[in-house]
Amino acid sequence: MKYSKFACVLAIIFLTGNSKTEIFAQQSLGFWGGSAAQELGKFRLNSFEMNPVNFSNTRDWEISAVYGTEFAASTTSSNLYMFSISKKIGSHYLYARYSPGLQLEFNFNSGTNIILGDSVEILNSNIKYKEKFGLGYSYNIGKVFDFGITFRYFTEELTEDKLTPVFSDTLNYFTTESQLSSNKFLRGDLGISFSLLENLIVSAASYNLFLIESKQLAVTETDFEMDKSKGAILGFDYQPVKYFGVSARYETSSSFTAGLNTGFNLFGNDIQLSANIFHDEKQTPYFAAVMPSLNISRANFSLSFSWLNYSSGRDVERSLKEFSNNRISNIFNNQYSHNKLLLSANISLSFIPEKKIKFLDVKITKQIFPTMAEKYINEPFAIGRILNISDKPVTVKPSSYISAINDEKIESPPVVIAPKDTADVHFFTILSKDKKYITKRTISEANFYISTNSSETEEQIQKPILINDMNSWDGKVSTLKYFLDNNYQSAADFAKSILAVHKTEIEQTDLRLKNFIKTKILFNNFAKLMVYVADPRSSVEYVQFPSETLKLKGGDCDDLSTAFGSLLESIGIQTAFVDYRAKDGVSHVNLIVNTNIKAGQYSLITNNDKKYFVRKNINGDDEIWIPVETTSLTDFDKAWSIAAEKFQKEAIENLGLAKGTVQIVDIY
Amino acid sequence: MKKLTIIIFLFSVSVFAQEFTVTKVNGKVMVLKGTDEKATLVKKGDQLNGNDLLITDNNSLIQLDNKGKIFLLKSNSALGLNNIKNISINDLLLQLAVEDIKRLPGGNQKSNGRTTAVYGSEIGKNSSVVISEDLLGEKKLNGAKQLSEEGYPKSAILVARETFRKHPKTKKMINSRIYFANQLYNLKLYEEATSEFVKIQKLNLSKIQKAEVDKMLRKINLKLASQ
Repeated sequence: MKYSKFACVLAIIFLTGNSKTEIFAQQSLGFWGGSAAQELGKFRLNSFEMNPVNFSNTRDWEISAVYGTEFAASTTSSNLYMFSISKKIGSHYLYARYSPGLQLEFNFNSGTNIILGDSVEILNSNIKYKEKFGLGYSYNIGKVFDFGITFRYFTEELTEDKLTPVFSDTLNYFTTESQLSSNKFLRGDLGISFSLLENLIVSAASYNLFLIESKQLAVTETDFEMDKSKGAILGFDYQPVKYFGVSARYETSSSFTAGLNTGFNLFGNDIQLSANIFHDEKQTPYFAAVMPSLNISRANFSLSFSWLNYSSGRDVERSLKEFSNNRISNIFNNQYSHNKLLLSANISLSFIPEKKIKFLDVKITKQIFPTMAEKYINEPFAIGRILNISDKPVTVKPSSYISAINDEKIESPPVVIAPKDTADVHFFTILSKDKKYITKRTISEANFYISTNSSETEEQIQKPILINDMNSWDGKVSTLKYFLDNNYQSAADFAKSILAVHKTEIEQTDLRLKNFIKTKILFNNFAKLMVYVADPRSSVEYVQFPSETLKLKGGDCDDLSTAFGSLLESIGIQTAFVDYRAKDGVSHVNLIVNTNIKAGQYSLITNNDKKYFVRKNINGDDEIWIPVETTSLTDFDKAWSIAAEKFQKEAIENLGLAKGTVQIVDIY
Repeated sequence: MKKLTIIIFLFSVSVFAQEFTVTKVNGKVMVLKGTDEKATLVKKGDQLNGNDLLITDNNSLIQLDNKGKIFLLKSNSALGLNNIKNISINDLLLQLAVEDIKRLPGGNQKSNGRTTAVYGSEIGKNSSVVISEDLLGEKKLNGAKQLSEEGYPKSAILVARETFRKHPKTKKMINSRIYFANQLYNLKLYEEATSEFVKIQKLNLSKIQKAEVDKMLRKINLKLASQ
């Protein structure tokens, strides 16, 4: 038995017999068995051999190098098996590998020796196989279906020493010359995989589906080409829990491989142990080899060790003829392969942070009413549902951007989500100063972003959102106060100009009645100017700003209440809206005004205790508040009586305040 | 259809129940209608409605007929006729709860307008006062007691509560407060009764009043403990 050393796999076979055996070596035995297959692994611990579909969980760039040593009976050979680089771009995945060490060389002695004087010329044959490079592309559809195509480039060469007789006029002699036959071929295969469940993937792939060959053959009786029979590989990978999984591949040549993996976390490192066995229909014993492996991985780095241990001895001498009859089909693993130790290093050069969260949905809960801008600081306008897909608690930072109202992204409060849990995140917004004055309703695009600790956005969702104009109102009396903020000065100017006319009357009034008399004077003047005018027919409620109502000299109940409330508040008289919610949906709003008169002194302003309502002030003293109907535009006493009657009946006697059908909403 | 008819009937009764005919008047009895500022004398045969407030003088009384139901308001009393109605315990509890809400400070009261000194003269009280504030409060409590005695204790409690709120001096009428706290106890509203007795306990009580309040609180505690 003789050995010759070559780069990757070495065997020297002597022509010792003519027995013919069909041997098709396993196509689907990868360097790491099934330790991490396809999309279930964090790194690409597989190659075309185990993953013909080619897809991987690589997030961005990944560089991988595999160094191996093969142990024959008397020699060991080591080499860089391959160097690969891969890149994911969205749903596209590209993979390229250069494989200088994936080669195999056989030397054969023809058995013919030529004795030349004192020297002996031996006729040899030499066969070399090389896989030079491989390229792969795959595409992911809907995160559950992948399809891929791979191309692998091989060369095969046969060099035979030939004894050639030379006849001439003076001398006849023999000479030896080397005769080269070669074949270069590109092999193309297709593969698909489908995630039946989140942790179960099934796959199917071809082998030797397309072949493009370029042959230069000399006259020879030796069939040196690799076996290129077509076939298919069917497989599955099942990972029920993070640290336990099983995988298997079946080939139509009746070969199969099966393995399981387990693991644990040690000081932040994921440790994975796996073991594989394979059966080759044409190899003995039934399980031709076992392949234990160990993988240690951190965030961006992975180190793997693998040992391929064949069950039977491989140092058997074969004749060239026998070799021709039993061609190999796989350079890495064949009937002549020896035990191997493999070391792999994977470096993830990802500039994309690891995805920890998933945006399940976002629901817009409120239209935007620009005048109520302040409200969206405290109340969310949208609620998103987020899933933490990582194993650790994650702090989610939500933000949003609506081009119609924002100048920049608006960040909302962060939310901590437990591992594998879902949570609602609230989106708030702040209207840019120069974008508050919207005069036309528009539909804008709301962009919702979520990120974790890194500043980069992990997920984004877009939804249309209705942006109302400045006069639009959501119909809730609690938000009417926002219409007072604008043009507050015009209300103060109006109120003060009227009170100035009544200076003497006010000065001669009982100190305790100052607010009451000012309210009365203001209302009587306000009522003289105003006309009740219903809102225009529209799908949205419409409210005028006080300055608009004073200018237009009319409005409906909310316009008039807002305007008169604004006049009172502008001169320091505390006012509240009274919201009457009718069962038929027709609501009404008027005002209740603080006279600052103490509860026991009601007779200063009325003989009838049904005409006022008592509320405590900040010092705990009861004060008299009087209702005012702002749509009763005759005089103050009538407006007071009408409002008091309504308040007494609906708020007090019908228990409206208790049952929520009547609400008092303080302006400030 | 039968159900609908019954519902409509009940609704009609409740809507039109507050129509009263004056069947007897002794002495001076006044009525303050709706939100009117002036009270008028009541005569036999007058029709009154729920928005009216009856006020009786000393030694006077009035008898009302509401579709066969007779109600007698005795002397020195005042009563809004809408209060002559039965309400449910739930409505009573709701209203008692909202009494507290109503008494919360309203809104932000730190406006400059309210902290600025105001100068001006004091003018005397309203010259056309129907009845003095203190007296009206007292009369309303008397009216509420009669309401309770006539079988409307829940409504009476609400009237009393409103009177204590709108006429603050009546809060110091200890016996009246004890009376209405007892009404709460009789309705088995022990927590509400305790709350009211505790408030009464903080007032200036006579020995007898104090003994009665203490006795009631012990009694309620026993009731609550046994529940």
